Amino acid sequence: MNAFLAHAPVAWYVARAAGLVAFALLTLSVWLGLAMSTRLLGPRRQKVLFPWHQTLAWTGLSMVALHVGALLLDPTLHFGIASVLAPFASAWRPAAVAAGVVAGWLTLVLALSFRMRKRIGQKGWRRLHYASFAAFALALGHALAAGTDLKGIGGPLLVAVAGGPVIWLGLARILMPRAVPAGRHAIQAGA
Amino acid sequence: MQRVWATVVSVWAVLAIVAALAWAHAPVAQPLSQPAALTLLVKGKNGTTQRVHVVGVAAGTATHATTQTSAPPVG
Repeated sequence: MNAFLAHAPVAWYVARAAGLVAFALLTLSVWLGLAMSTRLLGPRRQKVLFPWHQTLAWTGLSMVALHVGALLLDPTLHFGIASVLAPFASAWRPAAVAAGVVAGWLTLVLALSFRMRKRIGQKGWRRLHYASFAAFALALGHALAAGTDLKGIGGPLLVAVAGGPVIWLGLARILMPRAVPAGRHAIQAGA
Repeated sequence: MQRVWATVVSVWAVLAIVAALAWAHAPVAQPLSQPAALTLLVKGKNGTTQRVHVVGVAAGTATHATTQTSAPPVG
């Protein structure tokens, strides 16, 4: 067993595990964000869930960092810094890796936008948040095309479990009227 | 506090998946080949066929029975 542990591709296992956990956390963050933007949750719950939405995004990003770091340390794959940071710089499955790289950068921009919300304004922040759909789709594509753990039934299962609620909540967001912030109720009632 | 919880749960999830992957890819010990009984048909010099049952020979792994040639038939 000790000999096995000495020769086990630990970096490869960590890269796979961190990638899966990052995807799970970012999917939860997307679900929460979409649920908050609809009228499915009341304003009280929105107040409680918004910090979780933010925390899940940042924790997901830290797992993305662990995923990238482990890939850089893996002695078999020979990923360079450029190939994990720049799209299409990887020799191994360039399109699949590029999808993950772009999804990672988009998620970083979205996470940073929480802190710059006052500067960019509510409208700008909302518009920027539409990029989360692209980030989610790219991350899903990356997981399916580059991931080794989603072959066979795993891939369609992930699409259904992760993508299903996103489509459902997205439709609810489009078809249902947007949630009105708590402060505006009084203004509308008075008008 | 949320950040602490999210980090702790995430790290545990990563460790659990790493352990599961390592366990799934651990080398499996090869079972030792069981010695199997072997039935040989030996033709006697009178033209009769005898059945010889040899116990304790691993099938497919047995070395050749002998390196010595049989004695020439008498008569």
